[in-house]
Amino acid sequence: MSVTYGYTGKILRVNLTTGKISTDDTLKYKDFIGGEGMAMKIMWDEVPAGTHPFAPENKIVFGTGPFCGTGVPCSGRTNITSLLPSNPFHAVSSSHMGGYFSVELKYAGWDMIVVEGKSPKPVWLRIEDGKVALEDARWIWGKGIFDTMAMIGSQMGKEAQVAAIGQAGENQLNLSVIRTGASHSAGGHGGILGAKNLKAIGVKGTGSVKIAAKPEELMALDKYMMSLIGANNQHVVPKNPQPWAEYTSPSSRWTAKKGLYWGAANPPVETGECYPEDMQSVGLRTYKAVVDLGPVAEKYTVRMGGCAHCPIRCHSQVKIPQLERYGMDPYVANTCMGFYSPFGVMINGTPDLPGQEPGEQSMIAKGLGAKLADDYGMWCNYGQIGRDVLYAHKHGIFKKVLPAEEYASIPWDMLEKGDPAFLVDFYDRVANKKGELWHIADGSYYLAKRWNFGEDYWSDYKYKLWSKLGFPVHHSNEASGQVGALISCFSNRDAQNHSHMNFIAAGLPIDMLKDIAAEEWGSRDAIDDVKNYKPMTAAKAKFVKWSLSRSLLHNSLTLCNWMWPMTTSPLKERKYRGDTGLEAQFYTLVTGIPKSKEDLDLDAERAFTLFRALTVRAMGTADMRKNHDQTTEWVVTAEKGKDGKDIAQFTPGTDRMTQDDMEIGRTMVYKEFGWDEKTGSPTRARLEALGLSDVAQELSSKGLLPA
Amino acid sequence: MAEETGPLAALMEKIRADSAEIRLTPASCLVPLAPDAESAAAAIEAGADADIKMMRGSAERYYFSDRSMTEAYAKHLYRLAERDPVRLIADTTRDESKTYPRPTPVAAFLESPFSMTQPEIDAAIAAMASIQEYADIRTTSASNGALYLYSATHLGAAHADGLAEWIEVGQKENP
Amino acid sequence: MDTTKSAPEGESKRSTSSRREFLRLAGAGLAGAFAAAAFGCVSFDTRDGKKVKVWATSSGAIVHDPSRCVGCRRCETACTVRNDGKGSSYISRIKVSRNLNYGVAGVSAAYARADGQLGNFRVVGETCRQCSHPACGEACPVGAISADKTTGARVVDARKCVGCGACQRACPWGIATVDPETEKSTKCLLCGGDPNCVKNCPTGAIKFYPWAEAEALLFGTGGTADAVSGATA
Repeated sequence: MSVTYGYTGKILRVNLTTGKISTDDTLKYKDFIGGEGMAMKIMWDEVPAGTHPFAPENKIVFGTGPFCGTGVPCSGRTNITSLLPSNPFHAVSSSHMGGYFSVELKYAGWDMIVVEGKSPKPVWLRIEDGKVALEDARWIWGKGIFDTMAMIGSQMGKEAQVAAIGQAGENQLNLSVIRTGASHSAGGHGGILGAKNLKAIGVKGTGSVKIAAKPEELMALDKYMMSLIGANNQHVVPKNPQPWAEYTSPSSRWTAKKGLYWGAANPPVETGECYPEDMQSVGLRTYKAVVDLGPVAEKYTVRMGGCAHCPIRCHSQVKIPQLERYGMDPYVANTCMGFYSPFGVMINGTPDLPGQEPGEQSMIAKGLGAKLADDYGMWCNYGQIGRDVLYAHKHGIFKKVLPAEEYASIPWDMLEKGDPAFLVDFYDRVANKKGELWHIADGSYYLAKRWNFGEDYWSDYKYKLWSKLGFPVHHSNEASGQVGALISCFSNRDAQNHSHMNFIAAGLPIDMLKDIAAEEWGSRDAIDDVKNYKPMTAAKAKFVKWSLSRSLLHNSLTLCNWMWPMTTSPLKERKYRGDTGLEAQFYTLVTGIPKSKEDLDLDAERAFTLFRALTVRAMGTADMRKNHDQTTEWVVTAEKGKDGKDIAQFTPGTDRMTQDDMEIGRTMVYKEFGWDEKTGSPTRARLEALGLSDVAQELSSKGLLPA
Repeated sequence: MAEETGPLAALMEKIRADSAEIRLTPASCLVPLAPDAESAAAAIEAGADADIKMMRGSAERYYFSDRSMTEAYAKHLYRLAERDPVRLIADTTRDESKTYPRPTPVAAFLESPFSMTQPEIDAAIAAMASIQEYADIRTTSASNGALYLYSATHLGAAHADGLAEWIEVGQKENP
Repeated sequence: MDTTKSAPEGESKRSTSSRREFLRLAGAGLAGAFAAAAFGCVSFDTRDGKKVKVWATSSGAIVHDPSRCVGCRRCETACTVRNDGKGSSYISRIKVSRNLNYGVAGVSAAYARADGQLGNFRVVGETCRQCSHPACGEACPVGAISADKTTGARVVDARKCVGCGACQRACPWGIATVDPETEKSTKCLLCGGDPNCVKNCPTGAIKFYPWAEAEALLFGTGGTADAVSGATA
């Protein structure tokens, strides 16, 4: 095989039914960039509509991108694509995890793994460079993920990186994850591995990812990129005033400051002032433990961790000795939802006990919940699971649907009074599929049907459901009005899109953001002042399309969309401009395939249009506007102000939308993508122009092309 | 470029050295280097390099070099040096309401560089209410009880309410 | 750096003691050999017929701080992109990946409290100690490893290296590694005096120290330990 740059050139294919292991050529999919894009193509070509996620015919694709393994900043993520069990149409969706798995896979010589079939007995997949084997997993089946990783590590050597499922995945819960490393979870696809009898994948690589350009060229671009990088979510101003900063934002994740320490490090490490020019403190900027777990966490923080080749460390690694009271080891790591969502199950909160510091009990509950969820491999449907518990509890549904004996056995008093020990009982029941309660992990769509939730479950803002397809808000209308709202309308699960969110929350004054928006999307009215939204504009539609495409681009390259794109920077001398052409510059140097920013955006658009076609095919209707892209009611209903009166949409103080405006917005975004403006479905002409004639043909034969 | 040695150079050197230590230089502190504060000020105004900036306080002039700190940060130090917590809170709030725009969490004044105590903050906000000069400063609170300040000159009440709720509660629920 | 100055500076007390040992072995005619060693290394026969190499002391070495390290492994790609034109952890001359999950000791029943990301989060990186008597260089059968004339780093001459792995087997710290793709040995060459791993560490956890400090940090300050391969750290 000729030398390939960026790409290893090889896809590993594993058929668990036959045990056949084979190699495929990556570059035949290169129009789809990598990771998520290539996976969309494989899913389109190889998994017919109507396949059940847990059927052997379903495939699951573990994807890396050409940047993975090269050291490009924030390029360590793994994209996982398959049918999504919690989606009512089992439409294709992706989950992603950070950590070190994808880099190891590249070093072992593989760009992707495509798993199909079902093993007759539990197995794990062992990858040591070119040597690939299915190993008996009966000895680890039933184990939590932490022990599973250690036991596989004992077989492969300590260098191995492992992705595994816990009991939740084995039991084929819709809400289960695939996890790697200390705290990196891809939510939603754990049950697919369970159904395939595949407990884990262990990988160890002694090879490399080759770079087309001269080392000094890539090093120079890396240096430039590092000058533009901010803190987590590309927040480019600090939280507190700093001598070097012109601007601040109370919401910034650039939380480092003088006198703030990783208190449990030995010796404690001061985060300090972190001047933007100081490349040796970039990794200290984002001190997230004191955000996720509260100021009380300072003295419990050992360090910040994260993913391969990412200088921004967004995973808090803490030592909470109080966890030992629950029979747990004191070390726990996670970030954001990984802490919030298990804690959300504690619907009455967890009040501090006498003698505890302010916030101590909630820190303990978050740590305990994260540890349990990560070991069992439970997903939270982006924080929805707690709100589902809240709904069922508030409406007396548990009492109705759980058998009396089961109901009586649940320690509800612990939940009522906020004792974190409730989580130990809860996660055991759910992950181990006990009684009726475990159905809470069916996901919103199936759960609401099974337990007969009322219409208010969907329509009350409190429960934050975005779509009747069963997923919640994730940087939706609250994130730049129609921009976030429309972004959330195109996905089959929570939108997981940060292209827009990182920009609007960068921390810069709105006037400056509007200037940058004009440069990127053609008009200052691509964004509005937060909580002062104006009706839909064409520039907003451009911003939506760009955000959707860039997110898919990042999941293909693979770059972290929780950092990329670099739309802004912390540099005053650049007027805080970033560089949205960086992806293409890196692509050209790494792969040796010259691509402009426009080329890559078009590749991303191709992949996104294919994703759209996959959804059309899964749902069996071309009318996406009516059947897929709608929101729940609260989104387009006026909210009540403090005085109890409605705050009219498009007046200051609210982020609610109107149905009419959202429909205008849909039309504008469909138009931007060149899709049918009535149905929002890709047209034959657009598909053909993107080189997707085969897709047009299949949709046409199924009567799924718009008229 | 001003002269490299001589009295003015010494003044600038002192200001830059203070700024490098992240503190302002009050004109009175330049006296050993000039006969009096007035002549120091005159010399600086006549010929100092562009990085040397001046802020006029109620009784004192303050200097800093923008090589070591931004004007925004120097303003914070200036307001602290003026020892008028009511004005400090009001002017900081006005700046944020105007610039971003956004309301200012009262809790921000507990942190560096302000490092005020809760009683100090409470007293300042209480005092503000009866001073006509600060009539534009209003309060709003988020649903978790956190108090925010804003300037009505730059932010409407409904907008400020909405933003305070977003910063304090909404953003944390949508990480 | 002026090489004629770097060697005497590098002569810390302990490294002199090992040289004294060597002087005893080498006997007469040594002055010339020792002077030559300041510019690299020379080998010659001792009175009793042993083949011995004299090594110029390294200008310094890289030291990794486990309490500051965040395990991003940017040092590893900084190393291999610069020196090999590719990203790799296996051949990186600074070793973080292999200890990342379970520490130096590897998986144990007590992994949840032991070093590593799956335990107490401690990340122990290992760096080349640029030993004063480097086992890698002593073991190389073709003389491919010598002290760099500028930095004193023990460097591999890829033109001479035959990829036999003798250095890899000899290095007690597991640094020298034969690249399976090129069949050439890789080991820390201090990037010509400006180590790329150091520059690219986002938390300042990797530092280059002049020899005397590096020697103390890597080999300890007390007792009889010496900066010779195999000495206890």
